[in-house]
Amino acid sequence: MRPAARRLPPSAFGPMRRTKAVRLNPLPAAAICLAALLIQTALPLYLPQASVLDFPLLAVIYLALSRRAPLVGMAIGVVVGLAQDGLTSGPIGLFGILKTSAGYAAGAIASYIEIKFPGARSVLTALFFLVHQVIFWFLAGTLLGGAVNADLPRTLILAVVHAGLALPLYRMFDRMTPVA
Amino acid sequence: MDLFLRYRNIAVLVAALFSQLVLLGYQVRQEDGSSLLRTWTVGILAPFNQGVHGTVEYGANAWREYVWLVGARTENEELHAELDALRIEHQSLERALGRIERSTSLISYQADIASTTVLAEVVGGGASGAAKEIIIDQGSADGIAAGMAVITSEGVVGWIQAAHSSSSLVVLINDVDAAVGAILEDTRVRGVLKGRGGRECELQYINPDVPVRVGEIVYTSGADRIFPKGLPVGEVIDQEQSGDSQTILVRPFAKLDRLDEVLVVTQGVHQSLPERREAQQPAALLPPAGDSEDGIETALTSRPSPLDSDLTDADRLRRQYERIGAAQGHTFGEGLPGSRPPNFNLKIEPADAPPIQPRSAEDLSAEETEDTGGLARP
Repeated sequence: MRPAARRLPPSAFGPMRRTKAVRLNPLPAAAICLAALLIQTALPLYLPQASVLDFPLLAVIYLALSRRAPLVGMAIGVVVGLAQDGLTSGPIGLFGILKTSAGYAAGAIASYIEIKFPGARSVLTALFFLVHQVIFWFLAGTLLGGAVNADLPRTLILAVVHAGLALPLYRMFDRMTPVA
Repeated sequence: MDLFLRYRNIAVLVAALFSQLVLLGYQVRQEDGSSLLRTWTVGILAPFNQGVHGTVEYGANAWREYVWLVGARTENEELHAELDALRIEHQSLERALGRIERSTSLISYQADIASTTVLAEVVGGGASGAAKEIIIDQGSADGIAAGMAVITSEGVVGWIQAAHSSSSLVVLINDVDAAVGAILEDTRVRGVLKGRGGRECELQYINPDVPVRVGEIVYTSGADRIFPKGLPVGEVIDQEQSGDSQTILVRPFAKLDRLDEVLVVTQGVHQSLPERREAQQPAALLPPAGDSEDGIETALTSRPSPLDSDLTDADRLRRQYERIGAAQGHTFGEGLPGSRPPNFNLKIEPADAPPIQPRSAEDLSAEETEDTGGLARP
């Protein structure tokens, strides 16, 4: 019997050639997630403006893009998102859903497009941030019934900021996570 | 199976999202407490957070306290200068507050007493080191004259020795040359309070028979014609009986070494002394010892009449003279100068006195032996 993966049809991303999944060293990957959560909670203490940044999201996107596997990206998103929920006063699962979606999408895209160009990862980060925010507004507004401040210009600026932040951050992560 | 494999990724994603949505919904309904997941997450990450926080704090402190000291010396000097200025201001305000409180007390006292007084501030001490003197800021232009009493709400202070135009010299009552007519609170016995140059004064000319207790208050008697009668002077702090005299030390109520504001009595009005304290003697006294054999029984069973027990020796002598005069038909105060006085040697027996029994020669000789201390008279 032939492996099932060989018989899979081209995905919805189009007739692109499927890239090969890359294995990451788990320890640096875990360290990146942990560091992102720590920075997310510690940095606003000294720099309150940093509370608008989402370091766990950057970590999830980076790891999912690097691993090039949607399920692994999703798993990373679940873990990081739930951990982020645990550090907030909100209900558990809100950030989990957001990070799960972002991790899955990043892994799925990376499994079809081999992203070597740093600018491409940065642009994808901005797009994922926007999607992340839209889902957040949807969940917070409809499911949780909370007041949503959907400030689109501000969100666009934040997306650009995250894209800019992703450039040096991903380069640093590249050095930390040698491909296994 | 193929369908599942085909949509495996999507299925897992949907399952993950669905489970988290369920979890989310469950929590939204449950609005109490924190979940186990939150506790675990916080428990795991809290030590790291503390470590990061501690490290950052340590680094920040090291930077602020050891590295970033630009301008610290200048700032330190400026703060020291500001601190000195604030200290001086604080002391000044404290002095002003104390002065206001004292002035308020004095003004209240000024309104309470009958004498007319003038408020004065102490502006200096005397030029002599030995003499106890002060200088006040009120002088003859303010109605002050030599000989006026100086007091505070606590007690007498001294008197005006010399009144200049805008200041006056006050001699304190603890000066060695100072003397104040004084009266004891309990017995109303008058004496003279003399300064000793120290903190205490000495109450002189008090009969050694007068009982004086420690803590007894001494008032002005008015006899010196400087201090109005009835002003508190001080309290007895020590009393010693030595032979024919007794030494009574009095500590003035007024803080003579810390005077700031005083009152000068420009028109003194004598005032009554406070109520006399209850007598120092016990409530019930025994009658005078008699010669009767049943004296013990009398002392235990009978009480002296209030009239007799309250009589002094002078009163008894006066009664005796009245009886002598009545026996001879003489009325005191009616005879002209040069007229014959009554015979004061006339023996008059008291109405309630026991009859005198004739004494034998043995009794008389025995009495004489006792009077001479047991030695027989030659």
